[in-house]
Amino acid sequence: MRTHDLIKPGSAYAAMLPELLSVETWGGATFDVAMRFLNECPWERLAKFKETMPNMIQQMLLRASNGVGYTNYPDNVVRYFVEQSAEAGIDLFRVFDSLNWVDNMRPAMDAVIESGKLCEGTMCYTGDITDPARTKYDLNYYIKLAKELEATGAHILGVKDMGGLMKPAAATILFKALKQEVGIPIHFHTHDTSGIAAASILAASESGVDAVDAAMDSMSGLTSQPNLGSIAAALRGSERDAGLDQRALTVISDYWEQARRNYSGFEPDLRAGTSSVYQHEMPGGQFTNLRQQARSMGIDEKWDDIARTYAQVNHMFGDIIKVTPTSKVVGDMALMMVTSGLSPEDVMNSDREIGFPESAVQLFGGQMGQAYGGFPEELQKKILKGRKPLTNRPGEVLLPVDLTQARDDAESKVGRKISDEELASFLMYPDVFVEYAKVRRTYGNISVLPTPAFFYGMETNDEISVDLERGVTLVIRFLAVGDPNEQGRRNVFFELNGQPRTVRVIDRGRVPLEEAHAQAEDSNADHIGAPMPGIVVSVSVNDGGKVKRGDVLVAIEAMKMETSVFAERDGVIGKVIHHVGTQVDTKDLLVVMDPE
Amino acid sequence: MPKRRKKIRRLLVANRSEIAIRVLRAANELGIGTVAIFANEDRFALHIAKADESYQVGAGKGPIEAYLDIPDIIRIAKQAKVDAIHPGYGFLSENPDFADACAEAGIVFIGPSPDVMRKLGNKVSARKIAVDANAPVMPATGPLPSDEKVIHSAAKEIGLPVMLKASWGGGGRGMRVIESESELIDQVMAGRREAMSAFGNDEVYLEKLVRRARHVEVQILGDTHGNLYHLFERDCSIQRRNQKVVERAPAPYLNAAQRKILTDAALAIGNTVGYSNAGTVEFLMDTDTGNFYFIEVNPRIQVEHTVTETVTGIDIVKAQIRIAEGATIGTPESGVSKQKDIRLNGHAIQCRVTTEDPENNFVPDYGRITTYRGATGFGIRLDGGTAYSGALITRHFDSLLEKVTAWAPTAEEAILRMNRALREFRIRGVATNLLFLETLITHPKFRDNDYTTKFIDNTPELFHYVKRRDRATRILNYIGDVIVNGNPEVLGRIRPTSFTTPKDISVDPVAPPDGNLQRLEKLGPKGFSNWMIEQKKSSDYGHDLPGCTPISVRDTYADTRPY
Repeated sequence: MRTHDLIKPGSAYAAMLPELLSVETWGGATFDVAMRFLNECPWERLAKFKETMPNMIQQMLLRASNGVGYTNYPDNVVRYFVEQSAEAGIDLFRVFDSLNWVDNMRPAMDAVIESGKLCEGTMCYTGDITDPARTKYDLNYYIKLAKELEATGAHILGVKDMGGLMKPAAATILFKALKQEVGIPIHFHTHDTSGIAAASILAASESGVDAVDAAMDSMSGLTSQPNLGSIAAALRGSERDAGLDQRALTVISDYWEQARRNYSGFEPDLRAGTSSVYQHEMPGGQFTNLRQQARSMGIDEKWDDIARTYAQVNHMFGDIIKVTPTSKVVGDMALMMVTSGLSPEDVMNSDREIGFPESAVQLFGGQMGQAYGGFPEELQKKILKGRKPLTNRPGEVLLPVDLTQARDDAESKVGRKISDEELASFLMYPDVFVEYAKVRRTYGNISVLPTPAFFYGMETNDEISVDLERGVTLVIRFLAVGDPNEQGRRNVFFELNGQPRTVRVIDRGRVPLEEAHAQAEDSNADHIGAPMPGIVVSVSVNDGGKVKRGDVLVAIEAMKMETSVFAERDGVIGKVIHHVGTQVDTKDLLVVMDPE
Repeated sequence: MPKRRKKIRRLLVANRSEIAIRVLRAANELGIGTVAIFANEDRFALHIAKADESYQVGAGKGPIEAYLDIPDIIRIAKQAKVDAIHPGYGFLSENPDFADACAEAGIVFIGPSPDVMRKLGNKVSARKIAVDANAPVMPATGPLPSDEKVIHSAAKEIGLPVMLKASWGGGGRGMRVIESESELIDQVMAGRREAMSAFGNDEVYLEKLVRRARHVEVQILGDTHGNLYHLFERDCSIQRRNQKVVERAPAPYLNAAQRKILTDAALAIGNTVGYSNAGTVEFLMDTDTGNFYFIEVNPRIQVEHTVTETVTGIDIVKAQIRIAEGATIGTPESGVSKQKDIRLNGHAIQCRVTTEDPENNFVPDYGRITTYRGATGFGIRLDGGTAYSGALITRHFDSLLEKVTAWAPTAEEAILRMNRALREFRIRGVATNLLFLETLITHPKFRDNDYTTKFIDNTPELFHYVKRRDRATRILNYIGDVIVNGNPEVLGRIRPTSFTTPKDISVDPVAPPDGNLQRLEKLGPKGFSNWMIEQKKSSDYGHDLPGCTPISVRDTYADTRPY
């Protein structure tokens, strides 16, 4: 969802629901999505949340050494990111590791604790503690892990049930035990993929959990969190009454219901909860994405197959924790097997050559950390083809990033100075940030546009108002689109604050076939390009002619200002491209020198 | 005994753009019929609309050549039955052959006599005149021959660095600074070509270069009866590549004694040749010694005549026409008071708004002006001719869009007023130097008159301005792009059947009640953690505290994100 829609109810939360422990407004996948798909700055979004909700704790999900990305970053990058986030206003960091490996969580957790913010050490829940056959992740496993996390100095213990696998009976067992074994408050986060997550929440509440996650009614259910309004109603009058104002919940939920309609193109085609989640154990966040991925690969009808293979892959991998990024590895592997028609036996067959997905090579190479109980050796050998896996923390092996150099690199790529926060964006997602900065440079801050205009443009005679900032509003009316000219450009006619305005837009469906002038390649020392647009007024050299460094090659004139283009080295002229009288643009190739 | 005045009834302006409009306006005020000429490329130009009649000139020729086409201009003038031609500045304004051609056709040329133009227009002979008038001159060569050896020895004689100048030029065109002998010949050749295309004559010469100099010039106005006045001086030190960028009147750093030395020298030069009509005597002032050096006389109206008009109240262009009619200056019919009654009133600054892109080495930009909003109000004068919404700026002509002149009682206030006007401007579609000008005139050194002709070159911070955001245009470009090409993120997705504007539920921004953030700030993370635990304990002991079960809410909609 776009900042434009996320920010609007902020003041209502602040005024009407100050009892909420926190609002999770940032981190996780939203960081990447904001820049990559919505062309927004996540930091600007956070600043607006802080402004509209000055009394509320802002929570983010942090993937420990993976930051808000999908790969292990050097420790100093993780630390820098945490520092910037704390500075920008994150008050509570929910830190987890995709393999529940506490060692790999330490750098991020230590950075959070040092920043003076709330650190929630989070363990991921998988398997089923009520099933005696599932021995790997039993109650003792979680108790031992909880104590380890408490020992790190975490202020809160998080239990992250990303798959929505914790049945109500399991919640009762787990939270009763945890409340006895650890002395810090416990926070339960689950997904409603199965449709009965609210029952687990109520069981956890009865068992003494200190905080639970829920989503506003109109945004709840299925792969999201269970319903806040219903949970609050169920607890109202009990000794665990959350004290939330029902009317406030309704008003805010109505807002989300309306805002959500403009995003209907992105809604997954899910209508009901599914008990199959207990078989495949896919996290809620991945469920819809993998389904979308399958659809785009044209194998949507094999969804059952994919879900079953997902479970098989998990088994082959030794029953691992599945959450970003490890869940993606399982998903990649499952898709690969389904599309290539491979069975688990085929994969394990030592005579059979398998093209493993790159993510699987990384996982088994130890680049995402160490799995509880280790990786199955036979498969690991096959995947790594004899390479030795990493056994210590990836953060220990990765060289620290030179932040000054990274900043220079980023600034040269985006062509301007960048803020400390933007450096953090660049460190997480170098290419995504550079691309975002390019769009920002071209179009400015488009996060202020109403969502229909952002995704779908405008219809003739539509009128929208855009608040650029407080007290600065544009009223935009769209009038018409003109026919494309020879270069494929169309005039788009608007009224801006009542005044006619025309912009010219390239119709990318109608780019002319006529060949443009060749461009001088920056990296090619033999290419000599035009330093400015203008007309070639003199050419002083011929093909094959010898020149000395500093000789005039060509003179260009524009608006009565003549500029000479000089030879930068001694050499022989390969070809003169343009002749006197030719109109050239900046960087058009003028002369090619023979290579030295 | 004054000559009888020959009333001009129809006047042709042999120029384009803002100066054509300026002259047409003056003629209009005098009740004179007006005729404009235009090159084919200028057929939509604004100056055409300001004239009673207009005719295409130089059909089939290039845009510059068209305006330089003497026979065709004379043909149009005869057919349109005009009795006078005003040449403006640039183009044929300093070409004595054109003045001769006018005379032959029985048409009044508004300017000095061809004889005076020849003497002064050629800078080499102008020097001799200055020497005769006892005015200080800068060491310089005669016209350069083609022999490279001779050029080298001539340069050596006056000593490098030197300035290359076009003998028949003006406005800085063809002028180049030459620092070393190795670049001498290339620069001379390039200067010659530029001079040829700009003035139709490639004669050039070299002059000594004073490094820390101010450019100060005197406006003179003479009639055909032997009277010659000065209208005080202008400071034109703010230049880039020897093109003036900001001009002001009076020069704020001169005292009365210096002003007298300067204006006396200018009048002495003018009187030596019997100067008539409007002209400008240019001097360099050595910033360190305070000495003046004569540079040249421009026998025509100048781009920056506006600032002099503004502080003296004299309409110089109208005065030019009346003088050409035979009026005697100092009489009411000439529109020019007696010399002793001409006074400076306040301070005027002119900025030349151009399509030059300061961030791209001032390369002129061209294209269509999509939006044009000018600035007016008390004390602001605009002289424009090419800038309006929808105007196409071509690469054929010079890059001047608009001259903005600010007047105020003091220099300080004039700067503030100019700054206000520049900030009011909105020009979209082509790059302009507006922001650069804004940064320039508000620079402390400009305000304190602590600048030389190298100010722009030596003040890199002039280029470190915050770009005007132009947010509206960029947002429109985005919407336009989505309208034409679509947003790739929704490609192949089902479009919502209708769109919703969610109801505004925002609450007045009065301070919301304290929440858990204030609690966290008060208790710190450890204390907050303990508080969370206590909520349950309290409850166990039967205390009914609000918020016993803190609930964390998740609204980020992360799971239905566009992905």
